[in-house]
Amino acid sequence: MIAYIIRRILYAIPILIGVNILTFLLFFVVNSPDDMARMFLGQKHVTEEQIEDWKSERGYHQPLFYNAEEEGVEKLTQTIFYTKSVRLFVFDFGRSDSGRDISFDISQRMWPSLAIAVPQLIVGLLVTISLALLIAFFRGTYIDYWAVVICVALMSISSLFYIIGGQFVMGKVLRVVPISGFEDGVFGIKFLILPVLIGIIGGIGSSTRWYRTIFLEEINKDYVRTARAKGISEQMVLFKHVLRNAMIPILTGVVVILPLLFMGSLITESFFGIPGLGSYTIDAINRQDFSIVRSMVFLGAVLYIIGLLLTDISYTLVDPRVRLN
Amino acid sequence: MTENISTLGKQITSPLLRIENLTTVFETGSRKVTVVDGVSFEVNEGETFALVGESGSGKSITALSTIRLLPEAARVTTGSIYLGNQDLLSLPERDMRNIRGSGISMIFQEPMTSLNPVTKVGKQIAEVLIRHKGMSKLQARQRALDLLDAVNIKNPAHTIDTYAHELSGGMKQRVMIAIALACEPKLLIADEPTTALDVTIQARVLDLINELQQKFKMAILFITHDLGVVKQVADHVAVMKQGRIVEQSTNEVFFSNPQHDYSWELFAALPAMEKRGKPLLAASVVEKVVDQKNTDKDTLRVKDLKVHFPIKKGILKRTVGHVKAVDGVSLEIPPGKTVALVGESGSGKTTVGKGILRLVQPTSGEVTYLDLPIHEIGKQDLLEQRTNLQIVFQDPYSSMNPRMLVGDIIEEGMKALNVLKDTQARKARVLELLEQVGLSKDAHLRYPHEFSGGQRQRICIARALAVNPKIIICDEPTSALDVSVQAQILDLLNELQARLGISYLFITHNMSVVAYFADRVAVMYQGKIVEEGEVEQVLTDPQHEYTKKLLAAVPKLVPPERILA
Amino acid sequence: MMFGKPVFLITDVLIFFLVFVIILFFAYAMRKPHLRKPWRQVVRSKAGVISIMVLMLYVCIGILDSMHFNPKVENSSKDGDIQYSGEIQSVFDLIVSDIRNSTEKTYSAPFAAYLFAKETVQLEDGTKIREHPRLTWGGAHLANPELEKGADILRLAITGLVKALVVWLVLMTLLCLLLSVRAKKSFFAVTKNIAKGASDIPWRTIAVTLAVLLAVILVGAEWAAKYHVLGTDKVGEDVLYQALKSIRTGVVIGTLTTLLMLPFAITLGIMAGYFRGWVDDVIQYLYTTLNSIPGVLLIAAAVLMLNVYMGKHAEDFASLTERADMRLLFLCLILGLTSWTGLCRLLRAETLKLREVDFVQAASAFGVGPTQTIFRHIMPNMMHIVLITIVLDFSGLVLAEAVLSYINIGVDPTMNSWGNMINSARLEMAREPVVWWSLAASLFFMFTMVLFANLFADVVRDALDPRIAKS
Repeated sequence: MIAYIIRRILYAIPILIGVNILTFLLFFVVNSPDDMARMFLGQKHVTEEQIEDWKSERGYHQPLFYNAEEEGVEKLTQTIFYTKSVRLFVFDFGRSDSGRDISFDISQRMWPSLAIAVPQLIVGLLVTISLALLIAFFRGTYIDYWAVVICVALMSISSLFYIIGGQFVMGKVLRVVPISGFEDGVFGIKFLILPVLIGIIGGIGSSTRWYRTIFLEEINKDYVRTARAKGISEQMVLFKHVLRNAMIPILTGVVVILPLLFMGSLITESFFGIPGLGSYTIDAINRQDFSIVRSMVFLGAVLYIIGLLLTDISYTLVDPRVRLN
Repeated sequence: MTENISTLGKQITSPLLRIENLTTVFETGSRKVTVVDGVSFEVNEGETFALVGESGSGKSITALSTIRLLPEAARVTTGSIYLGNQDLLSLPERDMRNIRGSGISMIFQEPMTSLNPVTKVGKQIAEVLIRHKGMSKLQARQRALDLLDAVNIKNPAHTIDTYAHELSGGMKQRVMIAIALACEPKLLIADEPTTALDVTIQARVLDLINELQQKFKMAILFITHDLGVVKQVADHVAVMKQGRIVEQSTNEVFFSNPQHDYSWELFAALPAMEKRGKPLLAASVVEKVVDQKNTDKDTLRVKDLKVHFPIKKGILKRTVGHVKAVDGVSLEIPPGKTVALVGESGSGKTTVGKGILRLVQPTSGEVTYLDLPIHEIGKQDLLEQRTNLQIVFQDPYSSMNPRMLVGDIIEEGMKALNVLKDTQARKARVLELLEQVGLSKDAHLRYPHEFSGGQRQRICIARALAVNPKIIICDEPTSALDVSVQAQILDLLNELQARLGISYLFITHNMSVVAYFADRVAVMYQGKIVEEGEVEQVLTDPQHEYTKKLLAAVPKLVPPERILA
Repeated sequence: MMFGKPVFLITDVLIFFLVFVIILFFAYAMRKPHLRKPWRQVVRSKAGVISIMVLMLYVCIGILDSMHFNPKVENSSKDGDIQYSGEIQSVFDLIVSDIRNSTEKTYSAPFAAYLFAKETVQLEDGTKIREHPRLTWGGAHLANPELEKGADILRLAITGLVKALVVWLVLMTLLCLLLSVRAKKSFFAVTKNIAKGASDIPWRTIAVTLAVLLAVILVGAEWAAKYHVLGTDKVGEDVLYQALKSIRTGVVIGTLTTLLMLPFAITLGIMAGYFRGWVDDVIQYLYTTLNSIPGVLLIAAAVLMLNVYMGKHAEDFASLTERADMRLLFLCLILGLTSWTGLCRLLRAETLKLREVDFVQAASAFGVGPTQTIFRHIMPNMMHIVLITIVLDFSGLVLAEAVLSYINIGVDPTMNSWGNMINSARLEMAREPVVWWSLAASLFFMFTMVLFANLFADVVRDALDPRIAKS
């Protein structure tokens, strides 16, 4: 088990290197720092000096890979590649193009993201699994048929509609909760209700349908017939036998996204004005702040790899048949 | 308990299970298929009633109708089923549930998938006790330990806390039996309980069922396709064909003088030592055409063949050991002869076949044919030899590409190996081959799924024959087939051998097929050959312990001879 | 060409290529019974035929909108040589030229005859008052909108319905005639059969769907000729026109993305599964790496870089339309880059399974080489996975476009798309009274297409997936 984890962590290194090189190519080689400076300062009427100033302020004035002007190791370290990409491996995200400390921002902004994402995930799972179980109980009937049709209709609606519609109805017409904003502490809850609720409703269609498929697949297996042959009621068969087996794919599917919850949701956070990592990223995209986007790409990759590792480990915990080696 | 039985014993006026005119249909869309068609029989207390039939005869659906666990598409349309005086079909589902697991229990064919994979086996046994006997968890666990002991599991205290995947097939079936017997049902339905098991394990499980039947005084409805098993376990026998019972009688009568023609056909199709040299079903024997001069080099020699698969472990995936699938096998296949390779599942017999053909690269050892070292010759030479050495697989469903026409499937080998360069000649040869294996010529324009299992196996044989091989490796070619279809395929193989002088390496687990079909036999056990020799000699006077055990486990059945009036 | 000089944008070419491939595929599949069978099941299910018909409508609009040309300049042909304007139009623009050219000053509500906002109007006597001025086009034919509008709308609707009925009757008669000839039965018997809903292919469902679609199209056309059916947006452009033009963008993204990534996914997936060893390691590394970058961020990064690139090379693009088209294609590429990994993994697993199957083993016993084995035995046996992926991905991609355009990393802002419509309408919900029609129109058009695409995907999957097909 420990050997397995070590191997997986070692395996993560080349992947992170790959991600790093890919983003480096995308940000510094496809377009030179000069292009970015010009873009940032406006296309026309930019003097060379302004560009140089912009670059040196942000540390983009160094050569890409090899600095011939420096001595010794610094030939390699005083380069964009080292300062901007290699430093990411020690989670040194540096400063954003507007001069803010990215690491500090991340540590501040992940909490609001979690405040939305965690309740949304937990309540969402409970609701969708219960619904799916209910539909599975009525399988083959008209209830099942129409439930699936409703699920398909729900998942055909754009997530933007849920947000705009929810804000309009709950916030503007009914005036139950504030439309957007955020506040720390207990009083902040009123700001969380709407985004969490909308997130759950938006996911009901596709998740319920997916879980229903998993349940139906399990119901047709031989061991369920054995359970029925014991004289156990259909409800108990579903709860004690089918649910436990179906939870394996469901849980492991959830575990992989757990670490990514830190990153927040781009759309929800920007709509509801929540100061989380999602809106941080969106703002960076809109302001064309490349440092932040680059940092978030790397952070996302790290979290995804952690998610994969957690998935494998959770398999061994919930499924006695799986052993890691 | 004893008192209970004795009081029951006094009032035996009606049988334990009475099925009258049962009809079950499958409905898919607007299509209706009658699977069980007016079946009636009675099972008395304490007796074993065997329901025999080939696949699709409706025997399993009869059983599932009885315990009311039919698949969703199936429905009982007419008939009645009485357990004692209770009409099961008119019971509400709630009451039927009280009977399942306590009045009637069932064990299934696939022990591998019939146990819940994520629940400990002890809990699965306890579940039924808690449900029907109202025991506490602790009581149920105690009883589960006793039950595990009763089904001859050696270390119940350990086994009770294992998961299904940690147990072998035979152990799983024992656990299934423990679940079924937990509430001491009056009737046990056993649906092909030993079909998925090796013959030695089958023998032990059958003994166990017999022993427990005596102990618990229950009746068994035993469903099987294997006449040998029927002979061993049944008091009464009913033969099913296409949803109907065609014959019902006692064990003695059935195995000495069956009444129905279909029963006779089943017996005729059984391969046995006594029938050697005679066709099973075909009308006449094909005379051996001896025109080749076989020399010594025509014998395929396998010397010390080893196929090891590496086990990789640790951080750097180092090889820490090997699975020795084949561990030093030596064999000779003389021209025009059949050599049987017998063994139980996991003995490595299939890997031997693939190793000889280099579908799996052997780790070491030699394979010599026509003075060529097959195990190490280059690509081009190997291609040439592929015309001489061919293979027929076990599963007729997966051995043909479903997207190709039968004609193209047969032609593929000829094209790839340049056997016939002319397209017209190849087409003509395809038609000739189809005729040779007993299929109509228009088969070449159809797809594999349009054929039955037996017909597909004929196509596979035609495909192998297309490149004029001298040796065909038959990897369990009949074990997926019903006994009557198996007989046809064996007849065909015999006929082809007589006509074309082909030799076979016949890989099988079925002793009676060996006894009927092979010239020589090699017995494999855990990657090694433990005994080898002429069939008559090995089968009548086995030397090795394992061979003795294997032969002892095979149910004895001498098919009755039909005396024509 | 009579309206002008044809122009082929890159996405147009790819769309026509795709249509060509689909036609070829069906022509091929119809000759193979095992390929024909699942599709027969699709056209025999009610959900299948309804969704096919609705999607066909969308796709037809998309294809018409993909036939581009430079229009002739009206008064240029006096000295013989024809001049073409630099503007790029499509055949679809030509069909709906009425509503295309019917711009107002600013917002107007659906079926309105007056502008939504009050304006200071100078009366003839010189006095200035604030009022809702009449629209220049919508309802301009009415002398007194307050009194006549309701009756006029009803009258137009009835005209449309009558036209629809006539067209429907003609089409249905032709259909019944055709069927009666093919089945060699009397016309009357065939018609009765359809009316009872007793045919194999659900012709009755098809007839009802056709009636509904015809009614919607023809009534809509009647209305659209006189009114702004879905109102106008901030700059007075007809919302219905925008929503219809957005169809092409949705269809292009939904189909071309998959088309562009298919070759990579198929080649790499099969190679990884068939050759195993280091080939497998490299390919797995490749897709794990790509997968580990959150999709939105990868798209954002790539689009940001594209912006910089396009800013630098502005002169490379002949027109705004071509520039927007390049960006659309690039978006398809980058979406494809983030979505090929799923299919690749599926195909790798399937290849690993298939290469151990007996018929592949039999082929190697005949010495059939890897290339032939892959093309003859492996590829045909996993095409169902590819097809299922194509139809399943379609709706997800259409929805993704809206979200991406909403956060400004989607299609070009000048291009008509549902995402851009929603994006520009985001603040309108906060207005008092609410301007809802732009948003509602885009969401409704998108919802309809995605819903029927999802239903179609379900039917196709049920028909093609061997695991489901068996039970």
